[in-house]
Amino acid sequence: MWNWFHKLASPPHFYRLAGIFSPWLLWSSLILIAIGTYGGLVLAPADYQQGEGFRIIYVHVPSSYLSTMIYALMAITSGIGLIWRIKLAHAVAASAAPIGASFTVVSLLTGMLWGKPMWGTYWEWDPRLTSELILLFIYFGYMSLRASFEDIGKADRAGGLLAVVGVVNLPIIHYSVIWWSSLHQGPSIKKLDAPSISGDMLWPLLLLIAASTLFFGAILLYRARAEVLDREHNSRWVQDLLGERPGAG
Amino acid sequence: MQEFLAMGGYAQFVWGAFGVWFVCMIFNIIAARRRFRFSVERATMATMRQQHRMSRKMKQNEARK
Repeated sequence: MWNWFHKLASPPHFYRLAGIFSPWLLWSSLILIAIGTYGGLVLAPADYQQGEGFRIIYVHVPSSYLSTMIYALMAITSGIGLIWRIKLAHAVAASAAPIGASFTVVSLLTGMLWGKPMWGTYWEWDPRLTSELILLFIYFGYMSLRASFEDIGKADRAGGLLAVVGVVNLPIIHYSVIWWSSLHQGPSIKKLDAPSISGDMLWPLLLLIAASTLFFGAILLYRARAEVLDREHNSRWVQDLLGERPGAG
Repeated sequence: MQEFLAMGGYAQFVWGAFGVWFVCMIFNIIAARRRFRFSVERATMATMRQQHRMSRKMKQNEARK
């Protein structure tokens, strides 16, 4: 197990494996997203209260889920990078940030597009909305902090620290609808309870959540390969790789 | 079809939301590709510089012999 883990954490091995997995993940996620979108837009029945407007959840829930899941991954990999000084962990954290930020933007925008017809306003300084906005600022803060360092090692340490500290925002986002009286509705899918949503509405949602996770995985691996190259461009394996056939990846 | 596109009066909100989602996916793919190409280019340049240095050193060594 440890052996396998060490081998995976070795940059050339990771670079090669990520290059193999990334396209497979990408194509399978795109096919599944197409199926899920069809299910959500066409097959699922209209909601008896929200009519056709409820279909926004098929993009809002996966993007909101990704926005927090990606942050959690970023904080964990940053922690691993800081504690065990594994460069690859920092590379993964740095690669996850722009993807997480983009899905946080989608989560906020789709939420606003849902809020206008349902609540009568695009924006309200509601605990859930505000904490999600703070998440976006933390992503931006992380990325600009990293960008402000010339030296990758320093960027790793400073960014990693910010990512780990910023994790306090995640439980606030999650429990905001329970702790404070919020406009935002409570969770409809719980792990242990039966979900309070009917099956023909549920499956496209679950499929889209799973497919968008695969999509994230594909983009993450793609970006992490670039990060690994940046960190290793003076090492022997990169020069062997790029020296023999220039321009190839 | 008309009815489907109208989304029961929620057209701009539903299509707007799916549009944002779609743009985000395209953006992620394009941005990741650009990022990767940039890194490959930079690493290739570093490799070429390194090889240039090595070959110069070898020539110097041969000249000394």
